[in-house]
Amino acid sequence: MAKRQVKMYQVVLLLFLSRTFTIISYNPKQGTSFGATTTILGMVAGFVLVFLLFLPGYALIRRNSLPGEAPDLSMCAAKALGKGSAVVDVIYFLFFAGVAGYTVANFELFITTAVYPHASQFLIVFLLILAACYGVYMGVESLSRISIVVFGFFFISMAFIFVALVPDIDWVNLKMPFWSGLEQGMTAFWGGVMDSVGRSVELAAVLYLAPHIIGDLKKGVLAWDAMFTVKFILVSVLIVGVLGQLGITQPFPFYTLTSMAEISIFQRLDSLHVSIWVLMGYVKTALFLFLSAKSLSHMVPEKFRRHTPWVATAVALGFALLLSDNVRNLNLASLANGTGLPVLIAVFLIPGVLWLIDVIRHRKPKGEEANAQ
Amino acid sequence: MKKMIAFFLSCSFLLISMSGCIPAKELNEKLIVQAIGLDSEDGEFVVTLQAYFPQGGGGQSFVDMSKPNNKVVQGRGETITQAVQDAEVSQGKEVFYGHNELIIVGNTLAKEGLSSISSFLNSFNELRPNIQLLVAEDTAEEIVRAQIEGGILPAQVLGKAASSGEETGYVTQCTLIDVMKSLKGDGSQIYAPVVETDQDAEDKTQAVFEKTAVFRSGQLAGTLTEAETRGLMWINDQITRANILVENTNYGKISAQITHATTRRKTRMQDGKISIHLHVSTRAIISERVSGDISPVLDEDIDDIQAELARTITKEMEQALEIGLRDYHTDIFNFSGDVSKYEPQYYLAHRDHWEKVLPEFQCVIEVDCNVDRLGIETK
Repeated sequence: MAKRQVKMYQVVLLLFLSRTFTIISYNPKQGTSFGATTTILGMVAGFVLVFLLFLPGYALIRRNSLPGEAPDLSMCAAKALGKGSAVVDVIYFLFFAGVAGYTVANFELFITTAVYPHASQFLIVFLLILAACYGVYMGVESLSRISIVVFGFFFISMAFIFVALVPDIDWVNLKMPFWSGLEQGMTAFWGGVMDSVGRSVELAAVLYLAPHIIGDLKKGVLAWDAMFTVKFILVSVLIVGVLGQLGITQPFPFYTLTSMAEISIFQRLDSLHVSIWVLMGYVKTALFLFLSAKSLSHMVPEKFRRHTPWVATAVALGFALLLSDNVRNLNLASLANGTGLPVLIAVFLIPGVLWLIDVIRHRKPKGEEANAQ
Repeated sequence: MKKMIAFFLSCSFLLISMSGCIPAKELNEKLIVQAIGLDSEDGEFVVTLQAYFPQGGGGQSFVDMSKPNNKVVQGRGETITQAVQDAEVSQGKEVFYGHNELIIVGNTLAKEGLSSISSFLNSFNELRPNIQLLVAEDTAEEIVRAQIEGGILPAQVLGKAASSGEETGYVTQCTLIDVMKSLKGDGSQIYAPVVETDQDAEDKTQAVFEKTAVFRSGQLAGTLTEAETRGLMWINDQITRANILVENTNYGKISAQITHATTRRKTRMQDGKISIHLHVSTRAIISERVSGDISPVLDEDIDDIQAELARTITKEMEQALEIGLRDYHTDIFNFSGDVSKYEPQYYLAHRDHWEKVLPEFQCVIEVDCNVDRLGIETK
């Protein structure tokens, strides 16, 4: 098994940055009225659901853990399915590469829509993925350490935005939950739940990072989920309070807020905030490329394993170019992501099925249990 | 050795490729726009841009403040984007809008409706959401071309005049984000300061803000006078400082400076109609007394002065409510926000014809004025 290299708090920060990146991502659901406070209630419910979704995978890993060592999902699949675990490896290899490609495509859309319309789409995608590939070679330990620095910058950036914009919040925009009626309210509530679940691909990352982590997985995931939910709620309150109905019609409402935030002589700092987001995008892309390469390395012989990052990078690049080529492709991917289905399958369904198979195949017969007692 | 070669190749590749995802332009190859004027003429958009164009005084001085330091370019087109491109092409430099301070909308375009320009304003990435929007008394071109003195650039002087005017309580502030929120939202309407130019005693051009333009469904519905504008600002809790003139039988004319003001609203249903209670709390200082009598204001007369101040504020608010709700039928007070929050059923039932129910609103005004300082004049 892999040597434990990173502390849980570092992983929490790494996953927090990865998940927070979705806040600036393109959301095609912008343009429909939701009912902001009702959606926020949905996010609170989503916090509970996200943690519950993690439990089958956690149970599977814990079941197969030895003192001081924890397996990843692939190792658990190998134990449960034998050679059939290659299917699981392929699924997660493509899944993680897809997440990396989707992240880069989203980032490219943001940059070429809101910041530099004339920039080369291909160059942005290619350079970010290339830089992330280099990050993969540096390893998860380096990624975790850089996430501490990036988190520091991010925290200062967010504190500045909040302090600058809280006086501009019009509390009238935050209405009572379900103010527009039960039917619309439930749509908004469920939208908040699915938004919360759909953005939680990092749960799948935890299932593959387990061998590297020093610390309590369950507590770490709970802390990460809580941190993000609080942050998501605060950002939503800010967007709705400051932008009102306009926030719903903007593709990147959080960027609009950063371009408005100013304190005294500190004005027009949106470029600074964007540069921090570049770092967050890099961290997320590198993390999922690392995981994709890790999944692939379970399938290939030892001598080819050092090339797996390049293969994962090539596949992720393919996904990214496909999605960034046409905004309709990205819309479809975003809508699919927003249903929560990819996360449900990768985090709950597959680990849940593996856990069941593992329990059934490796259960001791009743006679043997009685003799053991 | 191989690693070193790979490392240097990577660095070289990154340096070469990162030296310009976007074509680089020197500063003197850019036209830095400070104000944008939008007009409508014969079915076309007319865009007038005021750009920074330093005119040095010779020697070490890069900018001579006695010179205009600006350049005005104009373009026309069927869309604003076309008109902007027409303006750009006419002078050959790449236009940069990141430092734009103002957007001035011409009177004709304001009457036709701001929705025709909302798409451009909302989607143009270089325009910042918190830049000011003004309405011209006549054409925006006239304001943009006016060489308003008092600073390096006329647009900066204009912007500062509009901002400082807000502190007196006579000039409202309207930003791009306010316009977009109103056009995308439900109910609340835009109001923006009206700007015109005038010549002062030394025959220098100056900006004058005496009215506020009021919109209904994005179209110019009318204007408010100075007193009505201040009433609007009292209602919308936008007064930070103001000078109020009252007359007192004992002391003649008194100028009171408002140092602190808060307006709170309570919305509820009463006898089937919306009742909005507006409670204004202010603190004031007596800053000046114009009277033949040189004796200072006595403590025992403060109650009278406070009552006079409260009556003046109440009158201004009543004037604003009357003209806004009953004359122009426009919700410039954002009552739709309060009603949708506290009486959602009423709001949902009436939001499609909101302007028709506005005259039925009952507004109760309560003003508490506390004169807690009498100035430094003593017996």
